[in-house]
Parts: sequence; structure tokens; C-alpha cells
Amino acid sequence: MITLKGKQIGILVALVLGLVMLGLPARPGESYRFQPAELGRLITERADQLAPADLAQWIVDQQAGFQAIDIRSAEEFQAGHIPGAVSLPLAELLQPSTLRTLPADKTIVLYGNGQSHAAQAWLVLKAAGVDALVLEGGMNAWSRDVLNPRAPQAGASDDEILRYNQAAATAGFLGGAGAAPAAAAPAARPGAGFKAPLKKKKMKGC
Amino acid sequence: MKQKNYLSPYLAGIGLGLALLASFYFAGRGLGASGAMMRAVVAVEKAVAPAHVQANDYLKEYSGGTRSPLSDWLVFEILGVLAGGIISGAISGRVRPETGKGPRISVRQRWLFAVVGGAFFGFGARLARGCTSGVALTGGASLAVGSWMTMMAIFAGAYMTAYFVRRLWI
Amino acid sequence: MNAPIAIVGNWSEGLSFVVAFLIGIGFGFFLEQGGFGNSRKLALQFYFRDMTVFKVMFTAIITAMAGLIFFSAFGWIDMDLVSLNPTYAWSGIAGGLVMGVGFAVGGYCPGTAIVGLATLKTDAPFYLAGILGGMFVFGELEPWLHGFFVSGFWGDRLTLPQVLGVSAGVVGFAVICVALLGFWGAEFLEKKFSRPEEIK
Repeated sequence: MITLKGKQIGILVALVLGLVMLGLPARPGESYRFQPAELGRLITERADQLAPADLAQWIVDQQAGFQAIDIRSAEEFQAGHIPGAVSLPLAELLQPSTLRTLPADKTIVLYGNGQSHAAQAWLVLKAAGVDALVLEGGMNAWSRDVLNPRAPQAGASDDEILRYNQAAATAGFLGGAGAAPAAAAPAARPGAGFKAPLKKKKMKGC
Repeated sequence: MKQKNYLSPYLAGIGLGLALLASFYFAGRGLGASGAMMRAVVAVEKAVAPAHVQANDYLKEYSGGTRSPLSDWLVFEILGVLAGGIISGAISGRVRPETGKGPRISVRQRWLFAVVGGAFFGFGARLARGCTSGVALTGGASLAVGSWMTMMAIFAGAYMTAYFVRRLWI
Repeated sequence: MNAPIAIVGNWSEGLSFVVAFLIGIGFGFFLEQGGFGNSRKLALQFYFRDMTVFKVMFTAIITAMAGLIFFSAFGWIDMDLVSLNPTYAWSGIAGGLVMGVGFAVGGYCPGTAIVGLATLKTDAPFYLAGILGGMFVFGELEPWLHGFFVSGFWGDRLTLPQVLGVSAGVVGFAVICVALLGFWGAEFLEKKFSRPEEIK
């Protein structure tokens, strides 16, 4: 058996350690977990992408579970952005302090003019454990596909006409809120493309 | 060799705690035992009736796919436990054939109840997803809620049963 | 943070298995040193005559727990990478109770039975055979028990600090206090109930 003295030392050590524990900070630093296999899987399954049409539907349906983040510069954001998006230029987004404050219960949809920077930001967000998606084709695709849906050619089926009407209605709903003006200058960043000129469509349907 | 006294429970506990901490630090996980035994069961089942193992989702988890179910961290850890026990027993003069039992029952009765007790424990361990090492020690140290609950249930179940089986031990 | 070393250092499976074996040696060594190879000594815990199980278990828990809390606070280990037991409330409690029955009747638990085997205790193989049988039965019954088995899922990595809304250090302090009180109580109970020949 250990001597009484030994036990007293043990109790003292335990109490001291316990008291010190009380004062320790709750969580130390950040931890970023890079899992190549998992990322590779998501990318090949295209589970990292969100089509502009789907994002448009989310906005129209007033889905609450996502947050669009515009990673372009503040000026470009002012010039025109996706409804409901917040402006977080890339350099600011990729700060540990910013990453920590992203809403934990929402899917983050990242978009730039093109796709490269959003895809890079996606890698960082995934490493930080954030649920994120990249808008396929970025703002360029948004302008091209959502805000300016192609009119069906003559002789199109009723089905195609119906889809076009719905797309045009959506475009009107979304275009009015923040369509990029046709005269906007293309961004200097790589990956940025031209912006399609905006054509106003008449509201059709209900 | 005369049997040495057991190490003080507190010192043994510290030693155990340090082994557990080393496990977390080096392997990123705690200790365990029942998982290795489940794999032994599935290994036999896989050899004898592989289709049955495939058809049962629970068993399939332990079947190791194309490899042996025994190709697993816990299995190697358990072999280490065996080795550690031998070493400790050898240096302390405690390696001798005997059966632990109370004075009121026979050795054979004890063996029978050992099987019965083991059966209950094995079933309960899979139901709770771990045994005293994997749940109480490991989960206890990592402050997992479910593990603390299971640990308290183990003590409760044992104390409640002890009175009824006292003839076995005292 | 450079630990858990196996994960951060991307250890091969072979290396992990070797280290598992070494860690197991430490585990088995101290289990046997504490007398856990002896089923009667273990069972006497439940008659308050030998509180070794409680003392060893809780000393081990607070030692490892304190280590984790301090290492984590110093940034020496990334707890996000450490595996954590999930919480399935109902099967956890039910399984615990059944294990308790098995412990009182059989006098061993899986780890200690292996140590018993290591020191040639003849009741250990019987207990181990029982374990394998009980596990086999569980495997066969699981399809029917599945609903219960996965019920009460409160979280994959639910910890006491999370549930209580305090830091790990606060919970650690509380656990240490409870353990110390428990040790004091255990010494008292042992003095009261044990027979002279049972103290070693």
C-alpha cells in the first residue's frame, strides 16, 4: 500500500490540476482538416457544384437553408449581385476569423464571375468543415442562363414553351432585384468572363 | 515464486490512464476489447457461412470485406493485453492455474456461471457498442455522454445483481 | 497540432497495428498489476469488500482525461481528429445493465478475462467462451433489435461539456472532485466490509 504521505500528495496533485483546468480556455485555435480522398469524391461526383437554375429555384422558393456569398470585389457586388447574396471578397472570406463566423446551419453557395476562385475557396471551406457549394459557371452562367433564358425557336413543343415561360418569369423576378447592367466592365481577375448584355423580358404567365 | 502483492490500485490506475492517454495521443483512439472479440466471432462465421454474414448488415460491418475481420487495430491491441498480462504475471509470480470463486460453490459450478456471465456480458457489450475498456475507460476519459451513461448502467446492473448471486463469491 | 500522431503523420496500417500491440501491453500490464486477473477480487467490488475496480477505473479515467484536457489546451492534440463514442441512449443503458449482470455473475469483463487467461486462471476461458456465444446471439438477433439498437441517437460526438454548455476544464474539475469523494468513500466502505484475508 502507498504510504499516507503518498496519498496526500496524490490528492493535492489532483486538486491542483483540477483547479488549473477550470481556468483553461474552451477551445484552442482552429483546426483545418484536409481530406484529399473525400474532396476527390465530391468533385468527381459533381457534388461540389450547384447549377444556376437550381439556385434560382431556391431563391424563388424562399429556401432558408442556404446563404450565397459573392467573393468578388465590393464594387462588382454593388454593380450587380444575386438576390440575397452577401459580399465577402475572397481575401476577407479566407480569414480564420471570418470562417469561424459563417452560419453553421446553412449551406454556403460561393460564386465569383467565373468558377476558379469560388472552387478554390470551396476547398478551404471544406477543410474548415463548412458545408459549401460552388455556383456552376459563377455570375457569368447566372446572367446567361437564369437572367436571360433563351427564347424557344419557332415550332417548339408546348413543353419547351412552358419551360421558357417559367424561366422568363423567374428571370424577371430575379433580374429586377440585381441584374448586371450591360455596360459593366469585365473584372480583371483570371477566370472572369464577359457579361452577357441584359435583355428585358416581358413578364409572362401567372 | 512467492506471489507479490498487487500494485496499489491508484498507481495501477495511473499506469492504465497513461496507457490510455498514449493511445489517444498516438493512435487517435482509446482502448477496447469487445470489438476484437466480435471480430473473432465474425471471422469464424465468415469461414463457415459467408453468405449469412453478407446478408446481415450488422455482421457485415465486422467482416472486413475482402480481408480478414481480424485485420484490425483492436485485435492487435488485445494481443498486446495478453502479452502485458503474461509479463506482469510472470514478474509478480501470479501465473498459476486457479479459479476465482467463493467458498460456497464448486469449481465446476463456477465454470458454468462463468459461461453464463460471459454470455450476458457479450450480448450487453454489443448492445452498448463497447465494454468497460472501450466505453467506461475510453468514453469516460473523453467525456462522451453515452459512455458515462453506459458506465453508470454497468455499475447499477452489477450491484443490483450481486445480492442475488452472492453465493458465487462470498 | 501534431497529434494524434497516427492521423497527422498518416501512419501505415502496419505501424498502427504494431503500436496497438505495444499500447495493449501497457494496458494488460497495469490491469494485471492491479489484480484484475482474479475474478473473485473483481466481483468483491459489488459487495463493497474490495473497491479496486472503482479505484483503478476512476484513477485511470481522471489521469487520461486530465491529459486530454491539458494537451488539447496546449494545442498538443487535435481533439477533432480523435475518435469519440457516439451516444445511443436506450441501447447504451440497456446494454450497460446487461453487462452489469454479466459482470456480477461472471466476475470478469473482456479485458480482464484476457488478463486472467494470461495468468492461467482456469475460469477465464469459460467466461471468454460465454462472451463469444453472447456476441454470436446478438449478431443473429440484431435484425430484429435494429430499431431499438439505433434509437435514442443523441449525437455522434456528444460530450458532457457540450451538453452542460461549459468548457471541458470545468467538467474535468467536477469529475476530479467526484472521483476524490468516491475514493474517500471507497476506502471507508472497504474498511467497513472487507475481511482481513481479502486485503492484499
